[in-house]
Amino acid sequence: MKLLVGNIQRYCIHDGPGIRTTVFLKGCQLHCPWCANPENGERRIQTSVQRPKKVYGRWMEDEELIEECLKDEPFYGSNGGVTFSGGEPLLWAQELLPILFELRQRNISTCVETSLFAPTEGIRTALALFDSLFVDVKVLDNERCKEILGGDLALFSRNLLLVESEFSSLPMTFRFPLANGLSFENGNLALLQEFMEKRSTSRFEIFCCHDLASRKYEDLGLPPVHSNRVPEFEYRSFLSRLRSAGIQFTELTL
Amino acid sequence: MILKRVIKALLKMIPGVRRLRYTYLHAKWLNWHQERLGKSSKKSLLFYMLKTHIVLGHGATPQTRAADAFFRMCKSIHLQRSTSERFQYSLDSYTALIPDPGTAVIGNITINYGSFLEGGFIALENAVHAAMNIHGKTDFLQGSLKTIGGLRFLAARIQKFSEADPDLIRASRVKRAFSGMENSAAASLEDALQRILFLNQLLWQCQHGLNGLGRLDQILLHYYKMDLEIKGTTRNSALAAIKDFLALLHENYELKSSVLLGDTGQIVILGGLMADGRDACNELTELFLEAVGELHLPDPKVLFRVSSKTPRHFWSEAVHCLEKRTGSPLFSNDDVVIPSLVAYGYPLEDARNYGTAACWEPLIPGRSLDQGNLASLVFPACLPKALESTVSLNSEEDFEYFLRLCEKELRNQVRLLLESNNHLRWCPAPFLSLFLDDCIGASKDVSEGGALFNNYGFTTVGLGNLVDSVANLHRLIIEEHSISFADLKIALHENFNDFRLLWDCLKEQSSRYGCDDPGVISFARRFLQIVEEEVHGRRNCLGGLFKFGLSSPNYVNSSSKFPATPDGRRNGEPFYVHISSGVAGQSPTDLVRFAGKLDYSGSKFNGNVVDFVLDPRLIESAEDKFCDFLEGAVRCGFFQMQMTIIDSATIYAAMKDPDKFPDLIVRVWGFSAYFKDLPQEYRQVVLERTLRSEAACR
Repeated sequence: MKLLVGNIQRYCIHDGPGIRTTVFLKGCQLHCPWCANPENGERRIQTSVQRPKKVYGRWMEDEELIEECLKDEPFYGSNGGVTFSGGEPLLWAQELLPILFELRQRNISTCVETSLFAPTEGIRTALALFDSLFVDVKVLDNERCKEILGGDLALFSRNLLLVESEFSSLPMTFRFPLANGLSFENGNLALLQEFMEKRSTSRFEIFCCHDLASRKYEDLGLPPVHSNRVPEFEYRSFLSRLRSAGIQFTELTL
Repeated sequence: MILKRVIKALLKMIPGVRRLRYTYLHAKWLNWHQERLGKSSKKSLLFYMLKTHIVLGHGATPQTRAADAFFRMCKSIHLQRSTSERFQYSLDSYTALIPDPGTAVIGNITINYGSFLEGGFIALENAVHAAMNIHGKTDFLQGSLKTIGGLRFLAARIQKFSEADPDLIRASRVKRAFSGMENSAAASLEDALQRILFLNQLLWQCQHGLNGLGRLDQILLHYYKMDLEIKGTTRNSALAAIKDFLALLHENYELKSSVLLGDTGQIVILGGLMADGRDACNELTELFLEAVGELHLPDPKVLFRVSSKTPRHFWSEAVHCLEKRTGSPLFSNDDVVIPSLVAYGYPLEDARNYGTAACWEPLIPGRSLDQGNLASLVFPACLPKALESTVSLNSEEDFEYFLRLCEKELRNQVRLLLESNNHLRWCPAPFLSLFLDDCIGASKDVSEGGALFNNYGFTTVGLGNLVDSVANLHRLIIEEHSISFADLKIALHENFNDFRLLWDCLKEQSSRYGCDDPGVISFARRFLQIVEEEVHGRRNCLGGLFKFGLSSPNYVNSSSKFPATPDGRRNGEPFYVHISSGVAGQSPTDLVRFAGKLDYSGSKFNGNVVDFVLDPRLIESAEDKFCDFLEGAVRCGFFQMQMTIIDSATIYAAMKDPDKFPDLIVRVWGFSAYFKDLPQEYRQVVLERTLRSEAACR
């Protein structure tokens, strides 16, 4: 089976435990305005509109991808391994199965970074072979989710229920990307806080979106992204509010 | 013309003329030191000439003259109060010896400090007398006795000097340490450190520069433990003494520095294996790493010998030291280095005791003359003639023809290099010979091959540029037909001016030297094999072998006037730095895997350093993960590895105003330097490499 790989990045230290190789798969149901990886949004090979010409995306057979994942095995130690990201990696749930199985055979830990906007059955099958996951929690209002991300919140909720009921023993971290006026907006912040308060024993990571990917948008011929940087003072106030509510979290600086 | 040369040569031999000439040369050397610190004037040169005292030895032979000169120097060097609260250590920069005509002064080695900690002058004399029983009263052995006499004389002078020291505590420490030197082992860690400093100052005084310190965590362990168990001293007091010791060695770094400030060669070897193969890391390993980190100096530097046996705890200590951003430690992988040394012919016990020369060239401390950096082979130098002699490049046969031309040129270069460095004559060094096995036992000065190991080594530069050049030629001309050979030749000649598109093609190479790519590795191994074939089995005039390695000080010097090359490098741009890659945003894991697949067998062990720039964020909040990386690197089989931890924002700011960053330290070749001390072209290299490493794909 083939997968459309956007990029393979090595020596990743923010994508799970230990040193990891992160495989970025192309294709996503959402169009988050703050996306730092717009080159992985579409499930097709793309070429840059500027020089030097760059090709985004390569079809790879699973054996080929496994070989790439194994290259850094000497560095994985006892808890490093491979993380699948994108785009939305769980759109490739079926194609990932033989790879996940092979990595499990070799005792290499696997992790997935997902928004949970993917078919439920695929998620159920694939998660059985992952060792940990990161779940992005972005916009929790139905209308706003449709408007800003282009996603159906009901799908997210259904998948989240599945994950929390059938895979509750899987180490899970919720990630909250904050983009000014979008996910970082009064109504949504209240919903995010409520989300965290209901899951007091879970791990949370919070970060502010950056606009360092603007050159990628230019290179792909996409409309330029507006700066979504959250003002420092507002960000700090939000974090204080969470602390006052007894919520424990990690701040990520990417 | 010939008459002029004869007269010149004769004049050089007349003592008075020689003394005047060397007075001038020494004054010029001192003046040059001032110039590179930004202070000089014509008046200074005259001043230095008046202050300079050249010590000439008397005797019938070069050996006896050298010993006599050493003795006279011990009598006459000017002593100065040390800045340390524990130790006496000073250099008299105005007093100098002269090498015998036509000889070079030996430097870049490490003496056997350990033997002098175990016994004093009497023990040295006993060894000389034992040798006399076998060899008779040879010039060398009589000179050795005179040299020991010089040491004794200087030790007595220092004791007397310390009697007038207003710092009474220091005076008593110095007196105790020096009085014990006659006939006892060192009585404490401080005494042992003082003995090392005593010999060390004489090494510099005799101009045996770039000298290393050896395996101090092994040599000093007994004295450290003795202090803790018998004297009840503490770990903290030992740490303070070590810091004092290191700071003192650094004090004269400007005078001690070779070509660039910071390049003193003062290397401390830590860790490694014991003679029986067990891991050798101990409490002193930790203390030295801690001391170096806390002092935050570029020099002395540390080489940390590691292996699959290195305990995790010591990896963590090394990472903590790295985080202090002094460029230390340089890592040396015993799992690869020791088998290389053994296969070359070093006995196993010696191989397990290896240290390095000033940069990274393995040698056996206290037993080697081994000169690791006699010359530099420039790999890309085979390209111009090979390109000129290739008229067409249309087929695989044409490409093979071109490669064979490169190989032929390379062989010629190596032969020339070996030939021109095989007849070196070394200046007699009776002081060095006292502390290098087995000069006394063999009654032979180190300059005549008295040391146990006398191998000659050279460094190489630009293998990456050569490999990327030939890979480009194959890919773009033979495989893809996207550029023409004729156009390429013109473009190289024109330095790519008006050939922008072609130049872009050359630079767009996604798999380059430094990438774990079979094609790249195959080219690299092929060229290395050519050099190996020329070097293997060749003996030098002292009976030793030759060796070479892939890292070099010359990535700027050798390239500054070198024409454009088909890897996309423009005329004058630096060659690759040691084992590194030109690919933007390359992961260090990829680079290490590449390095692990190169061949270090045979003669190829003379220093092979993976070098990269690391974003501080990849280590500072992720020490555990960085330890994982280092342990994984050992498994991959790197030879040696060093890194500079820096980000581009800091470098940009430092380039605008270097004086605002007086403590910023970066790795250069086998040493670290203050960024502010570096010439502009070296700063530019650091900036470009940092930008390339930061190019992110996310």
